Amino acid sequence: MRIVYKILYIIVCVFTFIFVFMVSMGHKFNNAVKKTNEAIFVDYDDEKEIVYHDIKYDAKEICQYDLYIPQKHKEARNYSLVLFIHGGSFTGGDKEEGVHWCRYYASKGRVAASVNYTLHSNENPSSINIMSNDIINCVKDIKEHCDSLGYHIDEMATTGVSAGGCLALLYAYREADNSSIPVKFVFQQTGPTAFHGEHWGAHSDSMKLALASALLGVRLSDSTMRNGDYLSLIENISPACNITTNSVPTLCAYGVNDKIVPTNQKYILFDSLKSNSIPYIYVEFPNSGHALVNDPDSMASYVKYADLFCERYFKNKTE
Amino acid sequence: MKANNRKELLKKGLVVWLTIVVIAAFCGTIFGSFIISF
Repeated sequence: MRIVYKILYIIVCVFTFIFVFMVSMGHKFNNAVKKTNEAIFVDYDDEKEIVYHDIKYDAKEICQYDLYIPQKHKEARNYSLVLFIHGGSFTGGDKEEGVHWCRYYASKGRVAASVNYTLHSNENPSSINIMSNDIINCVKDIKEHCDSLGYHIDEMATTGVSAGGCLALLYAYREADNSSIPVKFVFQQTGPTAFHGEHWGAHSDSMKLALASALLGVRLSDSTMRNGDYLSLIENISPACNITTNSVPTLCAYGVNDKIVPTNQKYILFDSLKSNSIPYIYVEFPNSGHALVNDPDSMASYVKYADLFCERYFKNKTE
Repeated sequence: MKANNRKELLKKGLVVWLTIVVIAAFCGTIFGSFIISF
């Protein structure tokens, strides 16, 4: 009997350790996220303002967006759109991640939206081009939807985090001509900017082809390495390679300790922006990794710069 | 005598359990700090 009690006691202790460990870790992480995001928390009443949830912009189930309308700012004027694109390594994440960003901009009199796009999985393969195309369709739908509500949108900015940051950049640089709404600037956090294998630790041809195939959603053959198709396909989906002298101003944030997106990615972007004379601002998060949750001051200055970009590059003034 | 022994045992068990709670909270917080800087 005493043995049974001893075993039970040990089990209780082990479970206690695991439970308390997880709770403390979660508490620490949540506190850091809360402190970091303080800069964008606003008093926003979803009832008084108008939030349209789960608007479908394509036949695919996942293709939905949430639209935040600045109801109390309704005036007979044109509006600017801030479109948030969530992160998640192109395989996960949800538009819910953009809720505070969208509330923040809607509270400032802008229309805001957070979009879901076709994520990649083994059952439903996707690609960066499919995701990019989703964003184009979403913007088109947002414009039509807002027009029907009496909000005419005539300019926009894209924003996002990680994979969403990459799609935000790609939309602003590559898809600007296909956009239903003119893009005025882009601001993003920790987005990959170039997908050449060597930047991602893929040094052999087979590894480079595997990475490119995963991102493009098509199996690339060895011959594409030799005939130059590999390079042109990779450059086509790399935001940094789509920058021209007509590209829009850019605001970026990266963590110094980022272990997911290689730190050289930002320099590839900056070099390309510099060589095309595109104005850009970089906000460094010295104590953070990929999640950027360990530098509240840097986040405050990132938000401040984003506001500055709105003032400078949007012609529709709100306050 | 037996009741005293049981009391002592429970006391010991509680002290060990509370120590585990404190150590787990400490480790969780340290690990959480590591995660947010990663």
